[in-house]
Amino acid sequence: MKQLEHFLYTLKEQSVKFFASLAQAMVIFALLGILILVVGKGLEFFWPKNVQLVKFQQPGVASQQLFGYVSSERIQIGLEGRVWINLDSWQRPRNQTQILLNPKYISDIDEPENLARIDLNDGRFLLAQPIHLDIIGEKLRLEQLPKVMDIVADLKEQHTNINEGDMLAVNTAIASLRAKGVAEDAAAMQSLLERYQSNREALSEIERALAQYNIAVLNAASERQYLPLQDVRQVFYPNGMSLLRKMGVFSSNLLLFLTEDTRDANQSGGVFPAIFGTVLMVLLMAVIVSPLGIMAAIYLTEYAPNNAVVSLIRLAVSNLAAVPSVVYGVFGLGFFVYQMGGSIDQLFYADTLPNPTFGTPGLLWASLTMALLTLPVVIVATEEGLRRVPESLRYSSYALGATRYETIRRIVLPVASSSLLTGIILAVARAAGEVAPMLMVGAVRYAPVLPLDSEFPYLHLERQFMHLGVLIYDGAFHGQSTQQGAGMMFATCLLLLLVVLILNFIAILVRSRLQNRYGY
Amino acid sequence: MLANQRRKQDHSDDIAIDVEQLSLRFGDKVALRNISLQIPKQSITAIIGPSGCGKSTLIACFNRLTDLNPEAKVSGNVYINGRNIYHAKQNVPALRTQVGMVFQQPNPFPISIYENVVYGLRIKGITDRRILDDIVERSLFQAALWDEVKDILFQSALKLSGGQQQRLVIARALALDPDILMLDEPTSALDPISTLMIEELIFQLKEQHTVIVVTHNLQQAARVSDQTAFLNNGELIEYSSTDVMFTMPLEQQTEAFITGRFG
Repeated sequence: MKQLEHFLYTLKEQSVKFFASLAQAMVIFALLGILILVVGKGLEFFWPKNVQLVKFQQPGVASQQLFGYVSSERIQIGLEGRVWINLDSWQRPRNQTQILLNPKYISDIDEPENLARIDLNDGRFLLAQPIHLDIIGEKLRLEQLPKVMDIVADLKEQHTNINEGDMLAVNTAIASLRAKGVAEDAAAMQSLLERYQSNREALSEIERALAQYNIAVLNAASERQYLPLQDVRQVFYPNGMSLLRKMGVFSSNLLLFLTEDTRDANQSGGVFPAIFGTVLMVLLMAVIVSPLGIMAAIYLTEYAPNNAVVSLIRLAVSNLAAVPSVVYGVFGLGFFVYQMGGSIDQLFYADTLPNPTFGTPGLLWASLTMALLTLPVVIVATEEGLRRVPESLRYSSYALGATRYETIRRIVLPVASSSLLTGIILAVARAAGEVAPMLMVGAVRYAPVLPLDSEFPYLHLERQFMHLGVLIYDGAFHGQSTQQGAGMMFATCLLLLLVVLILNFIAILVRSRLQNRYGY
Repeated sequence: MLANQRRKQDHSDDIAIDVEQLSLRFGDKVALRNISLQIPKQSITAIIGPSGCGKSTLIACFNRLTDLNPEAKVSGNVYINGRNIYHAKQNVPALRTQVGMVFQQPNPFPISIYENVVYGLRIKGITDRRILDDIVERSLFQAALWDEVKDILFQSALKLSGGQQQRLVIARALALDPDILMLDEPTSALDPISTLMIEELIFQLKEQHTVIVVTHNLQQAARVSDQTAFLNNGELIEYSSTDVMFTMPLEQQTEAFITGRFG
């Protein structure tokens, strides 16, 4: 009897321990899963994968072959099943980016070394077998490609220089003369028109020259095709590449991703505008939320009497943190965009109505909405920091003739500075990842211009902007149809994760440094 | 009402602090009851009594630190150098530069030693580097700390030992050159050697300052003070010269306390 009791007791003890550790293990697995998925898929996007040549024969059709990325590595040719093959931009029947084949019909899958991936400047890519270069009617060997690409780049640069330099100046001058009503045959006008003509000719000459730089390739159907080199960003042969060369392509892809605009409806190219938009929005938000949140926290801890109203305010602040972010988005749209933006338009931009200036979603409203969303984070963190400052320091300061304000400024705030900064950085990390309110108050899938440029007033608060989170959201919808879009989504996701992790890491570092300095 | 009176009529120049029927309540709880005493200038006054008898509260009334507790209600008058500090027109920060205070726990600010000493001066708006340097040296010297810290003035004050920190805090109060310096159990958190140093320091301060020491330690009161006040339950039981108090106390309670029968 005694033994049974002991056994049951042990069983109870052990099972609690067992389930607790099981739960812990599951948590770790979930975290690892997220990390591995995002890091793996994100980095895979930049990695030059091997390209396959697939020969197949479907019943009733002649034997075919295509170039593509076979999505499953362990397919057994000749057996029943399904295999997805991702296609390039040339071989897209009915605009599909993938094709579903039954391995039963596949006769061969090969990875020929001379199969190249050609990345185009518009973000698309082609898979083909290059034969030779076709330069001004002459055939050149493929080894000359790097040199030729340099020449093409030079020509393109000349073209841009003329276009954005003298040509722009001439166009502006002509437009201003026309606006003044100067006759078309006036001397000044004539010389400008002549300059326009000569520029135009120079440009056409460059364009004609560029059209003579081509690369001849064989497509999957073994047809010879000519591809203008001015559209080509890079050509590489993934199947025959050494690991080192692959790393080179990997880093060049990564650089492009971080510095260039998005291409091909956010399925390729870079995410620079989104990084820029996210950072700018978050900085503006920090500028708005920090003074507001810190002042509110100072009032609550240092000045507010201990009564029911103040307790109610505290309760409201902590509850504000629990409001779903989409509700903030709705509030931002209803209050900031429609009410405030509408009023600003009526007061200052009445001449352009009914076209709204501030009455549409934009950078300012997004920052304000996010500031509101992160206000509780800042208030709570600051309050906690202020309360940790020992009462004895305050008393010492008062005893030396300091007023309450001087005590707060000279003792309380410096000592609590680590908590203040932590609060702000946590708010920034939170704001960087929010998507739902962003979609309502200013972030868009594609913005043609950055909200910051060289045109007065430089910072365009009314403009819409791109945002990393929104790009991920957008990628998730592409992901259903294309591998490329999904790859972009994972890469962006990895980037966002990195941004947030770095911010948190800075928060920890700053905190420990300030804690060392002030000892609290 | 007496509180409207700015100056005491029959003020004697020898008296630093003149307390008239001072009472203090925290809400319903009476902390000080009808206390009257006169503290002479350039002397050391010890305030003794059992825990919770109101010693610290009493000295907190002298620099109006009690104002910080919204529940504290003071009645009666405290005259410092003949001026009523509870008068409506009293400038409280100025009063606190005149009546310095050192707390039980060494609590330097988490800034450099130098900045700790000049804290009160900076609040007063003194920015001249030479004046500040002079005062730092003089105050640290007075607090018998100069030799130990003259080479590390710009290091954090938190790196000092407990005894050094307490002397730094005294230097910080002395930098403002207060008329009166109040020390609230200044040695209770210190080792015997630091205690001895602080006691010697207190003794020297007497030459220029009026010193008030709240203490738990009866030997300390007997060693350093000129007169002693014994408080119990918020009432002033006995106030006389230290020699008299410790040899032939008038009150039964005082005798019981100093012979160790309670408290």
